Amino acid sequence: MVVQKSVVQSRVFGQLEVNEENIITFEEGIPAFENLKKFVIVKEEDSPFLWLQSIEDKDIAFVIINPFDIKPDYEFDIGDEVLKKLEIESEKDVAVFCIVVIPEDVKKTRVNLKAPIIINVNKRKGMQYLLDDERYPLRYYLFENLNSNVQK
Amino acid sequence: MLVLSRKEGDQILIGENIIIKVISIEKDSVKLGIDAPKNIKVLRYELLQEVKNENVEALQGKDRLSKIKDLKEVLSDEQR
Repeated sequence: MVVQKSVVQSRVFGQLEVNEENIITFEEGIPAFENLKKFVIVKEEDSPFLWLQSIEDKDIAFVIINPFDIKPDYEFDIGDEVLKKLEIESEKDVAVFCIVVIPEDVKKTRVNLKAPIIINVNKRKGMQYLLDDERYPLRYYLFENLNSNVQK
Repeated sequence: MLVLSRKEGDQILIGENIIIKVISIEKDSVKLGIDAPKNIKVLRYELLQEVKNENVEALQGKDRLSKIKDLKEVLSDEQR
């Protein structure tokens, strides 16, 4: 099999070599960026953080994290319409990430638990899924919550 | 926009299978029940707006690359 590679410009990484097979399609884009459909996940070395880099716009790269790394009891039901859209057949198909917002003061870093990114890793399809779930805030402050876990 | 007056307990049918029912009316809020097929997304409109704003904010700051390194250090300090 020939692996198709393409070189993508990105502000964060400069030139980034991407295997075509690693490109994830977001058919509906991401809220506020509906026009961008193709993304790739880039790992940060020795770090729980990853990047969701747009293939189509070099300036668009979200910092993401696996929510289970910071909140092991995170859980939600994936609606039927999402299972269908992403062609999810089994739990093994699914990877979940949450978008991280890093403000000037990194100690106030927050994670959006209200709208996880769901990816079918086999079909390479993804979407940002909006949970109307009161348990999970739009702004989950990472360090506040780490500290409260330590105090317990 | 179609504007309808409805009383408590009244319903509205949209298309073939979406029903909106007025459950209760209070001073400044109305409680609605929405019965729609599972493949139709029903969301509070503000939620989508909030998620959009948060996504835009997530991209702010050109030096996030250096910050993510700080973050890594702070995080490992905290976990130690």
